Amino acid sequence: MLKQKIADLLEKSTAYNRYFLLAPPLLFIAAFFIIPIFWMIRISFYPGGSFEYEPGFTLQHYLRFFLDPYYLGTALYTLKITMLVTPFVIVFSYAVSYLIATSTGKKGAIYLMLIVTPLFTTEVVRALGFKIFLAKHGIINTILLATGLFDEPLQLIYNDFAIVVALIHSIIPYACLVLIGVLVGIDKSYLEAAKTMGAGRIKTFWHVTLPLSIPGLSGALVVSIIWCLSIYSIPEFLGSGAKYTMTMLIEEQILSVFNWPFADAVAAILVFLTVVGLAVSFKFSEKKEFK
Amino acid sequence: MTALQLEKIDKYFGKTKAVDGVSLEVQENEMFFLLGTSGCGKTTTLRMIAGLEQVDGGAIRIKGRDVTRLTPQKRQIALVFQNWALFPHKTIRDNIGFGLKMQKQPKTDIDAQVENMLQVVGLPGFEDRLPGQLSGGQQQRVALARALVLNPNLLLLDEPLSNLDLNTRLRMRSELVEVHRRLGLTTIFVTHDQTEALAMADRIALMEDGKLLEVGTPHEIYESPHTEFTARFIGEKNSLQGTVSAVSDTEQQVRFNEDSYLSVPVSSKHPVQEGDRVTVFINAEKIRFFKADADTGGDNYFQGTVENIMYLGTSNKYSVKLQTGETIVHDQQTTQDAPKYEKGDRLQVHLDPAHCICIKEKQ
Repeated sequence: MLKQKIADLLEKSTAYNRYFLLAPPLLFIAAFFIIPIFWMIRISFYPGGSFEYEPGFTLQHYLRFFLDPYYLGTALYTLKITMLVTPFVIVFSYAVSYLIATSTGKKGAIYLMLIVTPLFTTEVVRALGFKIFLAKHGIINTILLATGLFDEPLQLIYNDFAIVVALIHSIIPYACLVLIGVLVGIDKSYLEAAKTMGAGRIKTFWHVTLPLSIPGLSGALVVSIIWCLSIYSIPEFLGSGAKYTMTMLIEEQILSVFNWPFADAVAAILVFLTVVGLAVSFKFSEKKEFK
Repeated sequence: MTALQLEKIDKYFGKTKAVDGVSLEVQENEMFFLLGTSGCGKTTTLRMIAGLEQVDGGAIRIKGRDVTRLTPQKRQIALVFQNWALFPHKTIRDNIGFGLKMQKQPKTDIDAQVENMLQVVGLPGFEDRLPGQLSGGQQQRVALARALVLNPNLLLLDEPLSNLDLNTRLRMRSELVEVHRRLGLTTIFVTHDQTEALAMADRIALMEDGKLLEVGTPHEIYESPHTEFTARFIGEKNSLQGTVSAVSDTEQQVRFNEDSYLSVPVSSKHPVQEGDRVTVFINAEKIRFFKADADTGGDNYFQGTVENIMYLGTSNKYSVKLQTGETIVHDQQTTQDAPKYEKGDRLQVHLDPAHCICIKEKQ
């Protein structure tokens, strides 16, 4: 009903009305997102360092980032985490989404609720949750010790393992929401047509379901990459503290070192990486979009 | 030989009985239609024949083989869906060749058969296109080719023409009949469109409320329907309600009021007794008009007044109020010599007894 009403409204609306409807969100995004980003990029070119910078133009902060192996290392570390996390996110969320999309009746709704529930807590709370979960005397270690397989607790926390696990857990719900939509949208008659032409379940999946879900897969890919690049609290709380992601470097430069131009340069590079990642994924999914 | 036999098949969706004890036999090479309104169970019946729905009772035999519990891929049938269900990500070649690929035929064989099939449906050279690049009519042909290439025991068509515009639909009708005539494939065609069924079918099965009402040739279904539902559903029939006032060996009288009645020949299909409430059906094009002052005499002539005229191109549709108080509709071809009547004209209406079908009302 409401959907129909909105559709009718858009149908009837003149170009003027459309802009009128679009104006509030556009203004909001411009004021609180686009302008600050350009502001940030401008400051990244200002000469200066800790506690002091002045208007001007220099590439020193960018050069510093790319020429110093320590700083460049944060970018590589961020990419490494991204590449470790993303395949798991894709596989796990595809499996879960497929289960939800093919469940009938109430089951699907219950699974979906279970998937979405973690999103009601914030990223920080989830990171702290993992801290408890993976701690030296946390649930996992208690169980492992009880089974007798290990004599002493495993080091599950303050390393890459903890970051990767927590990231996978955090991103799966978002990736699922993208994938479920696409999987549910696949017309059942395609699957039935494959069946009547002699394809079993596996062949139907391989030849029909999987190729038709590529737009969803690339969507999940985008979601995963963006989250991995931009997440801060999980590596901060669960990482070793010795290795920095780009987000941690930015935080340190802003809040501890007060080198704003340099922090802005790193942030600009991160934005650039994200945009490139998005563009590549969109290009990829565009080719595979059908109808 | 019987190509398809349904034996009292049932289907429940929850507590609703979607298909209720449907039995029928389809002969080899027959073009058989399942006709009915939406929700009558015709598509469910087709899907059960295909194996996409399990029957809740009864048996299905294809060419004498019991397939009731077999999966679709083991039934050697081909189904053309209402939306054609062409795989949007596969080329026309891969769409048509899909079933053959599942049979693990060599690629060169598949390509040759695909090419041949595209000739049959009149789309040579379309191998490398995607379904989205084709018009509705072309997609329809590809869907047909994809079904035919499997050389199935049964070709099942689920409203395959209802997504096409009128002109394409009419063209595809004759093309389908032509392909069917050439290949001689037993075909089950589901539709809600009675003109489609009348034009194409060898036999029609009419369904309503999950039940099979009657089976017959288009001529039988149109001219001498068994049931009141068929009479109302097929064609545009006038219905007049009355009471049987006299029955002789050859004729029965249906009285509408004190001074008007119809004489209808006795029909073994529809036995009635004196005093029965009946409905008399007569097709709109079977009615004849005479001038009000014409000396007609005899039975089944009624005085009437033209109430409305609707111009339909090939015919004029007259609404005439009879002296009995009922309004009847007459379709008169717009040929040159057809007499013209104006709104308000008085005339005589002849209801030819030979075309009157008198069916007893349900209690």
